[in-house]
Amino acid sequence: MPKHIYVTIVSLFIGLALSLTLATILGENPGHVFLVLVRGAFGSATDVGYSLFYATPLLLSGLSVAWALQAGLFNIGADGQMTLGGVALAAIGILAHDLPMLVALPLALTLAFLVGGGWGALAGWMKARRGCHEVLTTILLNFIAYGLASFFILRVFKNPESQGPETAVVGGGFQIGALPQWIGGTSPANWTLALALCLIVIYGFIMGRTSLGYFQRLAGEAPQVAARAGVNIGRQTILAMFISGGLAGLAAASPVLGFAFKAREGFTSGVGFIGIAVALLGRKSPLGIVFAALLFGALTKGALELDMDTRFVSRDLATVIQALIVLAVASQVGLHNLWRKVTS
Amino acid sequence: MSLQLETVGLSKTFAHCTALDRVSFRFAPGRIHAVLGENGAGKSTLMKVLFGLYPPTSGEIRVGGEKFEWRSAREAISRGLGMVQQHFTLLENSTVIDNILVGAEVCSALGVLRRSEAIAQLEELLPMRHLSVPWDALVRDLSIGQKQRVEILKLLFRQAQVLFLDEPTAVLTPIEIEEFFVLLRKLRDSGRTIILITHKIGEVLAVCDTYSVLRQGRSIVQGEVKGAVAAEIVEAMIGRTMPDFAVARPAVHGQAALVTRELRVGDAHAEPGLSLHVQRGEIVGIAGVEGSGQSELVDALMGLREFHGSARLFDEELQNTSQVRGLGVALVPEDRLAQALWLEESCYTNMIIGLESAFLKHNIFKRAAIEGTTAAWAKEFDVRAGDLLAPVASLSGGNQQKLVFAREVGGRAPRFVICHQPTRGVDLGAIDLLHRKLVELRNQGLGVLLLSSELDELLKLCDRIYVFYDGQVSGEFTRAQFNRAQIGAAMTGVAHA
Repeated sequence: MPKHIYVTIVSLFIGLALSLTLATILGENPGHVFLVLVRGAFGSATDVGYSLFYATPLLLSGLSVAWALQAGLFNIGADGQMTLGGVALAAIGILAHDLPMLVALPLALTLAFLVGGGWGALAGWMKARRGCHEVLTTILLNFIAYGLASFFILRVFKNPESQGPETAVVGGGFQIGALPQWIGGTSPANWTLALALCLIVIYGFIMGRTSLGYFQRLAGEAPQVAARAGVNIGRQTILAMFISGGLAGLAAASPVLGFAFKAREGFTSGVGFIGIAVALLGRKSPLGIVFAALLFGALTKGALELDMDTRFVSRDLATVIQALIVLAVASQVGLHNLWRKVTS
Repeated sequence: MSLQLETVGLSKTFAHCTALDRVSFRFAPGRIHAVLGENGAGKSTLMKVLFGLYPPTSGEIRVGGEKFEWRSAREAISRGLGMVQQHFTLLENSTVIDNILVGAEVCSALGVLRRSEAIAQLEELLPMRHLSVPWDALVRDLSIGQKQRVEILKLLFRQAQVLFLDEPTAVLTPIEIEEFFVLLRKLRDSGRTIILITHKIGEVLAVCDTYSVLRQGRSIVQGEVKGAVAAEIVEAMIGRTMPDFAVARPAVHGQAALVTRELRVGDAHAEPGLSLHVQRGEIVGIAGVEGSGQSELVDALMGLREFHGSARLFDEELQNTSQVRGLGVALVPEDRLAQALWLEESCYTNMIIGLESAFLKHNIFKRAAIEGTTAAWAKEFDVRAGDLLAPVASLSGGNQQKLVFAREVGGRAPRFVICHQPTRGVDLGAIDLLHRKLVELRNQGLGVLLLSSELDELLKLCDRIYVFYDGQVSGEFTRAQFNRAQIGAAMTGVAHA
C-alpha cells in the first residue's frame, strides 16, 4: 500500500480520537458517542440511505474541487457555483413545468452545468486575462452568487403559497426519483448518486487517458513546460474553471431536484466548502473522493443523532471531526516524519 | 582547530542497489580535495552519508581521528561540517547579514538581533578584505558570485572547518571563478578542509591538491594532483579512455535561418536592440555573463515574451509559441527542472510533451505507440533509466538532459535548434554525446543557436560567437578569430577592436 494511504488512515484515527477526547472532556462517555455515531450512520437501511443522501452532493463538489486542483487551481467558489446551479435547476423546472422527464432532466442538468461552469469560468477568465488569483476571485464571486440567488428565489421564482424563502415546486418531469428501498430505506437518497459515481469514473478516465486531462494536468503541474510546448495556459485555466464550476453546479441536483423539488435559500449547507476537504482528503483520486465523500456523509448523518442521544455534545461534533481530520491530513509531512522515527 | 575527515570502508546500500561500496578516502586539513565521478557514481550519496542525512550501512566516518556517528545534519554541523549546495538556499528578499544570521542569531538578552556585533565577527572571519559583501544589500540584488560568497560566509560563521562545495563554479563567470579560487586558497591556508565536488578536470588541475575518484560506488583512486595527468583522471572516472572530440565539420553553405533586427525585450536589452543572424549549417554561440539578456532573447524567440523589432525564421515573422514550434524549432531550455520536464510524470510521458497529437486517437492516448516510439528515442540518445515508467525526477541530471534532447531533437525532427545551457549539471559522458549531436545537426544543415556561460563549450562547438554584455552585443567572432582573452574582455564590456 502506498505510504499516503497510511497517512490518511492515521489522520482519520487522529481526528476521531481527538474529537472523542473532546467529548469526554465535555462529560460524555466516548464509547457511547462513537456508538451513537456509527448507529446513526449505518443502523438501518434508512440510516444508510441518509448517509448516502448527504454524501451525494459531496461527491460532486469534491469532484469539482479535485478537477480544478488537477489543473493547479484552487476553486474555493464551488459553493457559489452550486448555488447558482441550483437556482437554474429550479428556474427551468418552473418555467418548463410540463416537460417529460426524458427531455426535462438532461435539459436541466445541462443548464445547471453551464450556469455553474460560467460562474467558474468567470474566475478563470480573470486569472487568464489579468492574473487575478482564483482563490480571491472565487471567494468574492461566492457572495455575488448568494446575492443573485436570493434575488431569483425571493423575487422572481418565489413560491406565493409559502412563508419560507423558497421557489415554487418544479414540474414532475424534473423530479429525480428516490433509490429503491433496499438501498436507501425511506430516506431521500436519490438517483443523483448514480450520476455522481458515473461522473467520477469518467473523471478518472479523462485524467488518466485522454488529451483533455493530460493538458489540464500539464498546465497545472508544469506550466512553464506547457508554455514552451505551445500550450495556451490561459485557455486551459478558463476550461478548468468552467468544468470545475459545472460539476459544482451539478452538485445542486440532489438537494434541489432529488429532495426539496425547489430551491431554498442556503440549500447548499456549505457543501461547496466541504468539497474542498473531500478533494484534499481523497487526494484528487477517484476512489479517494468516493471514500472521503461517503465518510463525510456518514459523519453528517451519524452526528444528527447526537442531538438526541447525548447530553453534552451536539451534531456540530461532525464538523469538529471533519476539521480535525483535515488538519491531520494537512500536517501529514509532520506525521510522516513521526511515523519514520517510530518505525526506524 | 583543524579537522581531518576520513571514511573507512564506508558502504551504503538501498533496497536494491549498492550506492557506496567500501569507500575509503582521507581528506587532510589545510588542503583542497576534489571528489570526482560521473553522475550516479555515488558522489551525492557519499556527501549525504558524510553529512548525516543517511546512516551508513557499514564502515566508519572519522573526524579528527575519532569515530563519529551522527544521526542528523545538525550534529554534522555542530562537529564543524558545512555544505554549499549547487542550488543556493538564500532568502532573496532579505539582507545579506540576515541571511547569514538565520539559525545562528547573535542576540541580546532580550532577544534583539545584534547585527553590528555579528558584522564585526564576520569581518574578523573574512580571509580577505576585498572579498567583502555589502552586508545590508538585499540578496536578490547580488551577483551569482556574491551569493555564493554569502553561502560560504554562512558556513564560516557557524565555525565550519570542513567545507563541502557541490559544483560551485557551474554558475560563475571566468572572472568570478578566478576570485573564487583565490578565496578557496585563502580558506585552505587558514587550515580548513575543502572538498570540491566537480566534473571539471580543468578546475581540479587549477586549484585542488588531491583528487578522489568514485566510480559505481567504489573508491577508485585517491592521489596528488601535482604530477597527475588529466587523461588519467578522466579514465579513472569513466572507466575507459575518453575519445578525443574530433568531429568533422565540413563547411555547409546555407541560407539564412534566423534573422533578428533590433530585437528588444522590455528593459533587458539596450537600444537599439539585438541584430543577429544564424545560417543553416552553422552553430552560433552567445557568450556572456548570465543575465546579460540571454534568457529574454530565448523567451522572445519562443514567443513567450513580447518584443520590439523583428525576428524572422525561414522568412516568417515569429509571433507565438505554437507558430514557432510549427516552424520546426527545438528548444533545450536553460532551467531543465522547471522549463523542460514534467517532474511528476514518467519518462515516457516526458518524451511526448509537445508531440502529443502523434499519439492520440479520438483524443485518447495510444499507450503502446508511446512506449514503442519513445523507447527508441531513449535508446538513440542513450537515456539510462532502469524503467522508463519511473518518474523523470528520479533520473540523474545527465540522463534528464539526454531525455530532453531525445524529445526535442529525436522526436521533433527540427529545422532549427535553440540550446540554452545544455550541459549544466550534466556528466562528462553525457556532455560528449550532446556535443556530438549538436555538431551532427549542424552538419545536416540545421541552424543552431547555443547560449552558454561555459566559454570552453562555445569555443569547441561554434562557427561564430556573439558576446553579450548588459543587453547588447559587445563583440562578434568567427571561428578563425576565436581568442579567449578577447572574448573574455568583451564579456566584461570592453569592446574588441
